[in-house]
Amino acid sequence: MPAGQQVIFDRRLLAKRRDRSASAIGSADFLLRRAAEDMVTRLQSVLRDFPDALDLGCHHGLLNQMLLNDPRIGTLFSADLSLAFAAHCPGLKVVCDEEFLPFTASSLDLVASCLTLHHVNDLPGTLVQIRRALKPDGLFLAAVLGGQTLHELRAALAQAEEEVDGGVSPRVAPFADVRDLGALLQRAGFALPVTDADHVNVTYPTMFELMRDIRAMGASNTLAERRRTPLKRALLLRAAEIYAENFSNPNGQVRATFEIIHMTGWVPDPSQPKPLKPGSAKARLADALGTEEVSTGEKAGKSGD
Amino acid sequence: MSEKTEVSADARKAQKKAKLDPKLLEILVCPITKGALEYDSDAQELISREAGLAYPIRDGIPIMLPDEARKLEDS
Repeated sequence: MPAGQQVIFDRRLLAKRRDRSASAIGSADFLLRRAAEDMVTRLQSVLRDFPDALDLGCHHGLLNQMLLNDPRIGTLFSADLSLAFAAHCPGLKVVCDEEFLPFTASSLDLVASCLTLHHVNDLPGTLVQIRRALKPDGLFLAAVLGGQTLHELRAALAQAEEEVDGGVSPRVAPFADVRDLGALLQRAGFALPVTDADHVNVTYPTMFELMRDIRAMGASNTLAERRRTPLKRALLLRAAEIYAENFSNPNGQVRATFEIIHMTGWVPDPSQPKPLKPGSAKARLADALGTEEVSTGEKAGKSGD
Repeated sequence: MSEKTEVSADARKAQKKAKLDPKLLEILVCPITKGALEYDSDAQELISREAGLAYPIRDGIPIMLPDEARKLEDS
């Protein structure tokens, strides 16, 4: 991390949380499964081979398994911040920090990352490193959690904490917005960037089952500014009340929103489609439309012919 | 390398471990300098001279975390 960089996430704690979740995640991997299946569908629409591919933030190997079924992928490397997760995956694996990627420049044809990169402090830096590790015309495909994620829990905890403790501390991570991520891809030098959001609504009997799932995912609070004492019982009970008052369905179940943002970007290559230069048209639009051309008074490109 | 008469306990343990796949060695660089790594198969370490760090390999899995790397003594 460069000096002066804002530290949002405690990465060391995140590694521990992921290690601990490795045995429990199978019970709460519905989000991962959905995101991974979507990613695989997107990948299938791409017509090319990927001799060397990397699953960055491989968790317990869900996406990995799906990618291994794709005959177009030659060698699949799996990487995770947590050794317990990496050890779960078949094949070649490595433990690494997404903020300090250990991959040779222009060595990979595909980097796929499923629900991992929202835990990174310096996402622009990570995206640049990913682009460098990819070959020209290499594909970056990722799913991250977006800004709408857990907005109900964020609101309930904040209100309860305000009432019980008379102050609010950060409890739910800040997630990026669809538009921000598109801009970040472009800034990192990816061509043809695409982002879109998938909203997932989940219902739980109460807030506590939701929190249990979050813990099982290894995704409980790792904010650097988090309050270091465990949540008080009174605060939790009040938060659950507020949650049920504001975000429950007629049947009494509570709602939780997850927003999965999918990102794709390509490393620039001369073979990719590019817009033509202005003024390079070979046929007149007016002819194609069968109308008369009306000049706007300006000509694109060089004037005077 | 195999001429060594005295094999340390560590090295003996390392020999039992899975060998590092050459494919992995090919794509890995030092996460800090992005420079080349030397593979020390006896110690089961990946060494970055530039960064002065030795990254451990556990059960065939390289741990490319600067925090977990061993600092090399200046030579």
